[in-house]
Amino acid sequence: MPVLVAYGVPPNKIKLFSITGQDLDRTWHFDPHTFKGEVRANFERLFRAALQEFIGSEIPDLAVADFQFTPDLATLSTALLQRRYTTLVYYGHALTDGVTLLPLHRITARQLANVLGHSGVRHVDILGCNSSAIGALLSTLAPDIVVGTLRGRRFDDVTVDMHTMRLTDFKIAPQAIFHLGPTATSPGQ
Amino acid sequence: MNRWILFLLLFGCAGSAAGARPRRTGKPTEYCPMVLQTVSRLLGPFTDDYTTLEDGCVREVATAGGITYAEAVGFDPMPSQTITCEDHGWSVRIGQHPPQAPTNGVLLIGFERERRGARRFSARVERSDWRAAPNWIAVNGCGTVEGTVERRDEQWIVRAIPQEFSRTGR
Repeated sequence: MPVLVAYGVPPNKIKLFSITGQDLDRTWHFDPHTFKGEVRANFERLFRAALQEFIGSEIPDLAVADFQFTPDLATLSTALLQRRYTTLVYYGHALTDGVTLLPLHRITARQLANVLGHSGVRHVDILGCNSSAIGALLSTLAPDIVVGTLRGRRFDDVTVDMHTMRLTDFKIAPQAIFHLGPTATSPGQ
Repeated sequence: MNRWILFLLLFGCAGSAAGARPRRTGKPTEYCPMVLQTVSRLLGPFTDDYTTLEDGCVREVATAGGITYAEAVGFDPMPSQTITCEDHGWSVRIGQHPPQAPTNGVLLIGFERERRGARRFSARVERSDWRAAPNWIAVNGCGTVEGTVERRDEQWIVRAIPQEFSRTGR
């Protein structure tokens, strides 16, 4: 049961302040421009472990899943053509319009349904904010596919060494995934 | 200290802020008109150049009872007594030890030193208990905004600075 984890990275440029509100004259920048090489490899290693803990019990083959930074629709389409994946896990932002994923660039629910229609994917988990609305829409547009969504907001705890700016730990706070679709069962069931 | 904790928050949804009569509590300050004018310009629909924080995303975690909570930091010196600026559904606290907002998150807006009558600022969502956990910061799907605020006559002019994230290291 090949699994693809398609993830995005929200751009964030964070200026740091002390607990009394004083400017520390330091900025932590998580930037897609530089998200490559060792930075990406390190992120994926930590993210893989965090995701395994989060939904590993529901997706048995997650441990051997392919992870792909997927900033846009073209990247996702290409990834789904390269291998006959049966499960897709999306990790990234979703806009409050309820119809758009934003791993970096916009992917609409209709575009996603179209791409999935040409793939072997039978199960999609959307792990992002506002995933209920777009999950329901995707389930309507792709009725043969089981769609898992989060109903609560997602909290991820990440530890960074601020001297090297390197991520050193990553955890996703546990919460249930709700499934919509033909059988409403997870891949592990 | 080598290790810092980052909280990555990805969330969203809708909310609204009720209007309110302009009010200042705590020590009178010149800061209130500036910070209130700034926060009033920060929220909006998502824009590809990141000149707004996604409205629903912020309000989902920083709004309670029709009030959206924010903290303004970066002033030199930071006031030892908390100043609370309230207007149009916003409650912005300025101080070294302000009370924790009754929401999971707050809008954290940091101002730089004034230069030639203008200040740069950056804003993002932070956990409301961020001061209780030194060195914790939040990265979230609501995004970040940078801009400048400048006084002209009796008005504060707020300008967001477009950010370019379109190219990626694929």
